[in-house]
Amino acid sequence: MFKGLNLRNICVGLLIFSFSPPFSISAKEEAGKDEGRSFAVFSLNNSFPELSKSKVRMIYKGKVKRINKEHINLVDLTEDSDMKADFYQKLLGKSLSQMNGYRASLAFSGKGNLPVTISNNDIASILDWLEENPNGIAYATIKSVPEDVNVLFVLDPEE
Amino acid sequence: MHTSKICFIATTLSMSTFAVNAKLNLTDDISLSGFGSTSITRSNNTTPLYVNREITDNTCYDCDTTLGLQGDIRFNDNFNASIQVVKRPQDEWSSPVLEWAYVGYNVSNFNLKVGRLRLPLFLSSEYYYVGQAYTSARPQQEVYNSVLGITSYDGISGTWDIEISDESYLTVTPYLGIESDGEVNIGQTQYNFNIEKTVGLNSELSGFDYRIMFNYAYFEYAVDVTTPKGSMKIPADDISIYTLGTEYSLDHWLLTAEVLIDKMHFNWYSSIAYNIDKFTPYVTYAESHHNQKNNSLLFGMRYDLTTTVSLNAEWKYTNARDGSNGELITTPIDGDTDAQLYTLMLNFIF
Repeated sequence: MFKGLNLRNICVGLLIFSFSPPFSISAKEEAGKDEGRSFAVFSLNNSFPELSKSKVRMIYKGKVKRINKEHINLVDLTEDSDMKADFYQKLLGKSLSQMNGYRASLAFSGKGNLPVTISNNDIASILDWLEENPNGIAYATIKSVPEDVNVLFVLDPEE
Repeated sequence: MHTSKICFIATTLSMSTFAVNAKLNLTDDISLSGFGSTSITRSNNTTPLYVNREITDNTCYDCDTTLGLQGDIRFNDNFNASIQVVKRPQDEWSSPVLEWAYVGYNVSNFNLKVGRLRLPLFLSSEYYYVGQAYTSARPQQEVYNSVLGITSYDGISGTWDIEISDESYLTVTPYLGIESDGEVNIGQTQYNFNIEKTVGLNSELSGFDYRIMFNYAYFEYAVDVTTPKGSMKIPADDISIYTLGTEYSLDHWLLTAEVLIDKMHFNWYSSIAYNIDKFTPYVTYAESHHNQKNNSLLFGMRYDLTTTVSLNAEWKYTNARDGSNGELITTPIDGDTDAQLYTLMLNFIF
């Protein structure tokens, strides 16, 4: 039934269709839900410098493993956290499903630097973990972060 | 069929038992993790489709069944070791293979590995058997199956991580393999490869939203071919394989393309996927030239049930051209050289 069918033309048609407005609009609507929440990426290690957005993106993609030649450790929030979904959407433009698939590839290739997930998302638990991990890096809403930490980067809602 | 169903049920049960928490950290420096895939699949062609999977028009419950265990040990900031044992689709449960086992040494931006290592031919080579890590049910067979499922080498590799800027990184990995053996069964024919030499260079330029990978690999090998009628030795030969892969993600979109070129193949695919929360529909178009001539179109949908479990539903149409068998593993007796393939795949990690 498909003999002689020009698959290439069908494929080109599908690509054009998939870029059509309805899909693009739905993407914008979803991103628009997240507004008004700034995040701080921070550490208790005062030797870490201020970081660019590009650098922070590469850190959370697992590609940057060292700062100042020191191996860094990342801590992450639990999967059910709205803040976690918000953070990755704003920083990398990715849903948690996309991040989980990507991180499975890192975990089983041994190539990336994967975050440790702690059981409590409150700022006290994050700070406890940072106390135990001198080269640890965390993220939280900027309002919840104490003043005496080393803020490496601020992710504004409009970014 | 009875054994197949038992294997399928056993795999599903093991998934539901372990998949609650991905990765078991025995200590801060020792971890045990695993992955698996299992499917219900069927083609509408009586001739088996895909080397190592052999899917026919009989509903198959274990053509894709894969289960792997990986142990990682970090001795200190410099030394680590990793071992991965996999029951691949073509293996019996009683005879899984050691896919990799190596000791790694890290210093600054350099990483040295010695042991059994994964051949880094493709974008997804390092996680070839981890279905949870890529969007489609199987890696695109036109490209990934053109090396007949030979995925590892015994030897040494060195990787340099080079920071070009805050936005882009380059990794360069030369590698060298010593003599090793591999076995591939295609229908009733068995090919025993003796790979005498492996030399290669892998490079990857990447940013937060893209990857561009190039790999060159050179192999010297000899093959013993065994059929029901007897055995024969094919004279020693060599082959150079060039592969190029690109991946670009833009918000919800993921675009992927890979090409493999050697003296027997010019195979490529292009794929587009769009993520909507837990759903990811995708379309792939692929072509093969030279030895294996076909084109194919694939529609699929991935659904992420949890962070560690996903489902794929796929339909693929593959059409052999110019008298070739295409992706069918033998010449079809009835002359039917196209096939529609239906797949429901479950992937999990733990």
